[in-house]
Order: sequence, then structure tokens, then C-alpha cells
Amino acid sequence: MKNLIFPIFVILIVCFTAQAQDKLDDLLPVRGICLSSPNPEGVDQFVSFIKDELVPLKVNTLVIIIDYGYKFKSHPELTEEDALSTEDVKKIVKVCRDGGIRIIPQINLLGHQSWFQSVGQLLIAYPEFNETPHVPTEGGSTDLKFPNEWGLYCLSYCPLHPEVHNVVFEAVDEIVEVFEADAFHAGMDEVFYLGDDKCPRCQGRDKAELFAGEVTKIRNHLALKDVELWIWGDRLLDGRATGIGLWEASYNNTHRAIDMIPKDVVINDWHYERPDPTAAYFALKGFKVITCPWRFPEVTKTQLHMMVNLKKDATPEVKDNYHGMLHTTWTSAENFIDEYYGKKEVNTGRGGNYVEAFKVLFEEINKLDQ
Amino acid sequence: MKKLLFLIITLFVSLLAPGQENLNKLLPVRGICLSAPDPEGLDQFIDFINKELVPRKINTLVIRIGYKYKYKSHPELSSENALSKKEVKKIVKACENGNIRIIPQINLLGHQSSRNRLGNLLKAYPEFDETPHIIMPEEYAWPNPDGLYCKSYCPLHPGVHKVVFDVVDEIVDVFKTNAFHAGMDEVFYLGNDKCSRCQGRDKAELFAGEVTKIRNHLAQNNIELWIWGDRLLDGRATGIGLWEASYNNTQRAIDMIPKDVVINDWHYERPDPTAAYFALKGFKVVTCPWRFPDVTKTQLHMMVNFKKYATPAVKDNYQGMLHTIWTGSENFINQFYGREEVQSSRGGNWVEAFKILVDEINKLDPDKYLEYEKK
Repeated sequence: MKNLIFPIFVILIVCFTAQAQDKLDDLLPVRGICLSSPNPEGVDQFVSFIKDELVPLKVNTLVIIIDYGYKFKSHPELTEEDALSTEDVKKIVKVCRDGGIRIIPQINLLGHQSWFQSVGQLLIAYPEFNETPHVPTEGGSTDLKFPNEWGLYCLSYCPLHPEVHNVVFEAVDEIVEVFEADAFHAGMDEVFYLGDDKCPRCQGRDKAELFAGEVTKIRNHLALKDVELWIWGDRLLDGRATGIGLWEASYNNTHRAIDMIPKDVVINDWHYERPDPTAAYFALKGFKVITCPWRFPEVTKTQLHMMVNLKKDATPEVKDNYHGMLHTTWTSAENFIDEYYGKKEVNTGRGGNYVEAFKVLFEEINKLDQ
Repeated sequence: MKKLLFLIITLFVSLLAPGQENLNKLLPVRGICLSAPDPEGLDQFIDFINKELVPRKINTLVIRIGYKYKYKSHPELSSENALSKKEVKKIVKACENGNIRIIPQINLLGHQSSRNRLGNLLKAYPEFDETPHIIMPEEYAWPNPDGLYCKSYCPLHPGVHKVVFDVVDEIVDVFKTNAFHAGMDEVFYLGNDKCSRCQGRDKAELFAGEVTKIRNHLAQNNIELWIWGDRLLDGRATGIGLWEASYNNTQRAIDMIPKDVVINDWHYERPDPTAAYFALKGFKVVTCPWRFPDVTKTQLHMMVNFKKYATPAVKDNYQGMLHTIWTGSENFINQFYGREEVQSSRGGNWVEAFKILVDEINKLDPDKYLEYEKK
């Protein structure tokens, strides 16, 4: 008899837990964190962190910023130093799968093709893809702090260059495959260089159409294999009308693209300093939206509660558009893990503490009464 | 002695003022939308303003006057039971004394009929009818094969604006006001395929064109335009449906109309977060509840919380609350005093909802929402 009671007990517990988990999955389908991919020597620590910390916190989504930090077979010329091998990636894939975490690799497409003076691998290997080849990225008369005389934040590739998609789509396909992913994150935030007046292909074109065209092209490519496209949402918001400004929203007339892109693109709506209610804006437009906090614990908490409250009152058509939370960290994975364990202090330079904010977010999530 | 009394009163008022001022900042609009009374109900209506609305800090009255005024410019449009100029002046004076901004409404574009009754505009000017081929039924039922909810006038008829702008100007003048409410809700007949002028045109452009035309006319005299917001929302994408949002492809008009049009965003059954949508688009928005106390309360708290967290550019777009009453003002007043029961065939109780809204507003601590510091 004793032999029976214990298994029944276990089954019951598992059933109850599973039911609670189901409800949490309904309420917040995405409970995520966005991390940089580790260096090869940091992979084991990264894998342990996922297993020991993320899984128990009920994190179920990991957006991993890989960019060209992978040993691409299709395009070895794009691979950065310190890139991960297939074997490294598979370790991460396995721990995520075992822990019920959906992994979504990110390669920045369109924008973020440089960082300060350092040009990204795509434009090093293919300088002809540069939207603004006339903007100097090294030497010159500037240290490239923003703002500078060229308005250079990051370089972009030209979305109308006839060859660019052949290259980037091969890299995208390879990364989706190695990560065994059913979603891909294309970044596409903070694209300041777009439709440049000196680009022979883009000059004079509608920037909203250029942006929407590129989103749609990437989405259509991924859709052939049933892979979902995730992007950051800033270019789809009017920075002036909303007062949100030029980073978390657009000052370069791209915001009308919101009415031009397919509705199955998942919007990562990042706001760090205020809990902007832009999730309502995206959801009412018909998009799945995920709110992305960063460094202020109180803002993060308010954003979570806004998300679940908006969901609570939503029409059946819109309810599922309120898709959850993705915490962003914006430091290397190694730093974040050290800071998480208190081995290093968080210093954002701009106030707040993203480790605290992350901990508060998941504490609150796990306290929610679904 | 009289002077001393005056001083004391001034002092008292200035002591009270900071709270009031902050409430005005938090909720610039604390309104109610009522139908204009019959001439014989006028005194009671004014009493109600004095005794109930003013003490509750209501500061906005949208009054649905329509053709219930003895128009001098167009006597042919005036309905029976219309108010005289003198009668309107009594209402204006009561509102002035109580610091209530009064905003008269005449339904433009849509709502040119009600059930089986044609409105006065189309009775006098049948040539303005957008759908003359649709005959008014003896017995009205919804839904019906014609999709007739209300008639519309044709916004492209060359004669229509001369007439309606005459009456708009006259009503704005007699109400001594700086805002006019043009209704423009639930416009189902628009760009009809059988209308020789509108056929094949983009309905969003037709709707936006009419809003802009009215706004431009009013702007010449610095008069603000207020409209109901439903045609600017996509009823399908939002799941809000065909009444409180649009199923007839007018929603893109939101990107075509001037940003100084004030949006009255009405939702009765759920606290839809559409105030955020309008505010982020750059519009001043007023949330309009009706009959469910709990929904009303949530809508108020949503409004002030959106405001709390808003950027400086958007903060003032969250303008406040306008409670709507869709029964005769006589009925409402009787129901308010418990002399008559509220009978809403669709549930809820608008008198309760109104009382709760006002109670909650007066319980708010404005400072809590006007200061927000991130941590």
C-alpha cells in the first residue's frame, strides 16, 4: 500500500504544479531574458547559470545575441574572433531544451552594423553593403561619440543592395538551424541610417516603406520555414508624438511602417526609464507584444503589472497579443553572471541596476495570482 | 465689514485652490453628457446643475441639443419642443456661475435618423441623404437587410455644409462656448456605392475629410472640435466590434485628421486601453463610460495611471472623463433622485456608475499621479 501512496502523491503534486504552470503560460507566454552569447571559455558557466538560475525562476525564453560570434560554415568570412563552435552552441541548446526554455538567436539586421569605431563583420567583409560609405568610421576628426557631425550611431546595411540578402539570409538560416529555433530575432532597433540622401538606391524613398520593406522581406524569408520573426519595436513608434524620443521611438519617419508590416512579427517593446503604455498601442494594432525592461526595478515592476492588467481587460481578439516580458541586460553574459552572483558590482553609468530589476521581475512574476 | 467678509472669502478660496488646481491638472475634463431638456424641464435641469453637478466638481457639460433649439438661421430645422434663446441662456448662466464649460452637440455626418424617425436635417433637405434609395421603415429592427442603423448626410454634397455650418455657428454663439461636439459616432453609411459623389472613394479619407472640414470651420473662431472616437479604431484588430470601433474601414482616418480634435473615447462594457492609443497618436483623449460602475471605476484609474507614467509630450493628452447618459435628461434626473428606476435592458446602472465615478474622482490624491519618479 505504501508503495502506491507515494507514486499517487507524486502524480498529484506534478498535476497541480503543471496546472499552475499552464496558467502562468497563458498569462505570460513569454518570460524571458536577453543575454549576449558567452565566449567559448564561458560556455560551461553560461550553461550552469541557465540550469541553476533561469530554469528555477521559470524563465522560459532566452534571446541570445549571437551576431557573428558563431563559426559560420556558410560564411566563414563573417565569423568573429572568439566565436562559438557548433558543439558550444549545442550545449546551450540542450540545457535550454531540458529546462523548457525556448531559445531565440539574434543577429542584428539592417542597423547596428558598427559599434563606436569598430565596424561589424558584415561591413568589413562586404563594404559595398554600407548604406553610408561616405561616413568615416576611423581616424577622421571625431572620436565617434554620439552625437557627432555625421549623426553616426551605428552603420546600417543598404536594404536595397541587390546582394545583401543572399549573404545575411544564409547566415540567418544557418544560425536558426544550429539553434534548432522556431523564432529568430533580427534586432532592427535604433536604425538611424536609412534612406540616406547619398545612397544611390535609397535616396528620396519613404523611410517607413524602406523599413517596412526590410521587415517584410526578412519575415517572408523566415515564414518559408515557419520561423517567427522578432524585432525591437522602436522604429514603429513616433518619437515626437509620444515624447519617447529618438532611441526608444523614431525621429526618422519610420513609424508609419507599423501599418505596413505583417501582423505576425513579434514586437519587443523596450522602455527603460518609464513604463510607457506602448504595449496597448501595439496590441490594439494587432501585434503580439513583449515588454522589455532593463535597469530600474520599480519601472520593471510597473511594466509587468501593466502587461497583466492590460491582458486582464482585453477583448478576446487582443488578449493573446499581450505576450509577456523579456528582460534585457546589455552587458556581456560573463559580466551579468558575475554581477548576478555579487562577484562584481553593477555600474550602468546611467542609474538603476539591471540585476536587481531582473530579480524583482521574476520575483513578481512568481508571485502573480494567475 | 462687507470688505472684510470678501477678504475672508478670498483667503478661504485661495486656501482651497491648490487642491482644485491639481485636480484640474490631473483631470482637466470631469464631465457629463446629457440630452437637452424640454422647455418645461428647464428649471429642474438648472437646479440639477446647481445642486448636484457643481458641488461634485463636474466642470464640463456636453449637452446634446441637435435641432432642439429655435434656430433663427434655419427655422425649418427646429424640432417641436425646441428651446428658445432665453431658455438656453439660463443654462449657460448656471454653468457659468458653477464654472462648468458647456459644449453643445449637434450630430454631424451620421445619426441623421433614429430608428424609424428621420432627423430634421434630412426631412428639410432630403437631397443631402447619403442613401436616398434606402426607405425609412415603418417598424424598425436591428439588424435589418439594409444595414440601416442611422442615416448619414453625404459629406460631398455641395450644399450640406452651408446649412449645417449655419446652425453650428448659431449654436456655438448662443451657448457662448469655445468647443463644439459634432458627434460623428457610429457612421455606418459612408461612401455608399450608390452615392454618385462618394462611390468608390476611400472611406477613411471621406471620414477624415469631413472631420477636417468641420475642424477648419470651427478653428476660424478658435472653437475646439470634439468627436466620439469610434470611427478611428479598428473594430476587428482590437476586437472592440462595430459600434465602439469601426468595421467600415474608417480607422486609418486617425492618421489624417488634425491633432487638435478632442477624442471622446467611449467604451461601456470593458475598460479598453484605447486612451493610450489616442494619446500616443498625439490626440487629447477623454474616456467616456456609461452604465457599469466597475468598468467606469477601472476606466478612471486607467486614465490617471496612464497620465502618471506619461512623457511630458503626452501627459496633457490624458484629458479626463466624460460620463454619458443615454436617456432623456428628465429621466436621468428622476433616476438620480430615486424617483424612477434605472432600467437598462443590457445590464448595469448609469446613475450608480456616475455616482461612483464622481466619488472616486473626489477621492483621488492628484499629487500621487502628477509626480512620478523612477527608481
